[in-house]
Amino acid sequence: MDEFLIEQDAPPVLDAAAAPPTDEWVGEWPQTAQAFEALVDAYLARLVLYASRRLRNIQDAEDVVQDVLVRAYEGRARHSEVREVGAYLYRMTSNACTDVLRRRQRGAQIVPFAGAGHEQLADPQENVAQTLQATEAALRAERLLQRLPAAQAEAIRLRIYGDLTLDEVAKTTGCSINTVCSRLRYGFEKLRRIVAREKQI
Amino acid sequence: MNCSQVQAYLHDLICTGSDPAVEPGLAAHAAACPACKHDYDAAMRALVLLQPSEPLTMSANLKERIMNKIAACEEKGREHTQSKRMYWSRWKPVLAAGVAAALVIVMAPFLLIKSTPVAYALELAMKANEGLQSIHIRITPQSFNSVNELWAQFDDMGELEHLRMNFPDTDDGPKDIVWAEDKAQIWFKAKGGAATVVEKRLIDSLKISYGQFDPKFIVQEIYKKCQNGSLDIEVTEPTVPGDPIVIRASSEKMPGRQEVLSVDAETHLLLQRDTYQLNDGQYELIETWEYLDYNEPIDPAVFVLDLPPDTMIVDQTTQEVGLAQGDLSDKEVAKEVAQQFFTAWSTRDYATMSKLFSGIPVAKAKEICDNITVLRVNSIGEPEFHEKTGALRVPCKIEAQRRGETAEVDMKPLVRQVYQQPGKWEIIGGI
Repeated sequence: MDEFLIEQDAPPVLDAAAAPPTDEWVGEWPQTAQAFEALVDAYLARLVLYASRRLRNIQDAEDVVQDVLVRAYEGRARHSEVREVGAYLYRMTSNACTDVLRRRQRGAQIVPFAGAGHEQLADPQENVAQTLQATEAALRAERLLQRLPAAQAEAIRLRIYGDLTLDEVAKTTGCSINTVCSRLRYGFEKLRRIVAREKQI
Repeated sequence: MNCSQVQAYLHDLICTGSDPAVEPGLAAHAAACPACKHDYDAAMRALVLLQPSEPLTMSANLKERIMNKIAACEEKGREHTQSKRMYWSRWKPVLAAGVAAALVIVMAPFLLIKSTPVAYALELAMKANEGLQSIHIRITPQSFNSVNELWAQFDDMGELEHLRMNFPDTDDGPKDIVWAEDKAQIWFKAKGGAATVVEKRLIDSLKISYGQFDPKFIVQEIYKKCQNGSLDIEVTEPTVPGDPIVIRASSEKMPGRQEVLSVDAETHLLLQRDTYQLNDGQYELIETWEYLDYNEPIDPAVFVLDLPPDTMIVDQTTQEVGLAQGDLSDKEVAKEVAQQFFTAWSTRDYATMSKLFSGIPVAKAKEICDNITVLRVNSIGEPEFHEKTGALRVPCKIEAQRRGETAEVDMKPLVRQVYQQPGKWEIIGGI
């Protein structure tokens, strides 16, 4: 199998079972390249799924996750005390995605990381149109989420973009499942109201 | 399904996920109930907006690329260590003393900043704040003539776009200032008045006032001072996830003073700045600046003053206020303002009264004239500085008439430069 399909055709957002299989990381922050590879195996697909859904662009998502994982490795000594490794990686990825979206908002070009090996575009014009459309959709979703309190927005991002179960969202955000449910419900309630109001306008 | 079942289903949708078994019943109910249909449609639209429509496929070689990068990092680190060792062992006998001495001399100002945790914390904090879009800052405790809360919003180019600053205790009493599009509105709460001004100096002064609180400038300033050796920095990395990085700055130039910055370990954004002063052997917290709601959209209402209906509003963008000082000294112009004001009062020249009295509405000037009639100005004495307001108090003897009785009355108008317009003078207290 040459490529790894990270999203199914079925609605992914509310179907946690559709998330790619993962091995939850148990233990300390890996300190050697060999040990780190196991961490990459456990989280790579999930982080790319999260980033790609949030950014609506697979190349940007891969760049973000690559950068996050390389930084995570470079900072391994600093992170040796960190126990919730997965939560930490999600937060790093989330912050990196926010930076990319912020740069897009400012109209800056996303410069691929050196050595990322992007292929020449087959049809530049079509690709540009698609990119713009996806960028606009990502920005629209981000603007919508930015209207929520940060904790509610992050819970929704993890649930929808990361396909995380309620338990996983709770672990990642460091709070109880009840709190996660409450954040998700209130956040989504507010989103529904915003969307309904925008429709009326 | 009934309405409450539909509402419960939508309420839980994001937690439990969609249930295909429920959908037909829900659709049947929605077809007959416009309110539930409206809510259901909104929920679906919200989900559609959040979900990408195109399935995305991850590159097959992504893991390989990442592991190559990691291997390269490791290799680079090894080479660096090895080359340092080789270089050192080869030249040690000859250069050790010289290099050490040179390093001390040349690098002394940089030694502090080049230590990894300091560079890490400060450089990342500076970088993190580059994309600042909006911020809410709270300053405690409240102090005289100082802002205690402010909101700032930036445009796509990072330029200040909207600003609100609340001053709970000033010479003018509590006042709030909002600024947008080169126009500022100042609400003098105790006086029940508000002035709208377009004045570059005011705008510049507001920007400068904001600048001292700007998280990016603060970190840059500390970085700069650290580089030139005028600050000692100590960085404490968090041991527990979620705790901030703590940066302590102190300087020999200000003994006993310590600035403590709390920086989010994840986002590298400045969370708080605490200023301490050593007092009787113990550090006492004297001020805290809290950085709240980074890049959270600010309610547009924050940048609009919620003026009570009876507020006297003076729009200096559409009306001329004050008397130009010209070549007159401060005291001379203060006397001239008083003279012209009472002369205008005596002739019921409402426009001039308004212009010299903080731009009060003409109706207000008429009300003043209706209450007391000024017959003439008998004398104008030497102005004196009024400490509380910073204005010049001009002692005037005025012959005035009220309810049919004529008398000489003492009036002492306070004359001051128009707010942030040093070239113009007005009588204050109008607003």
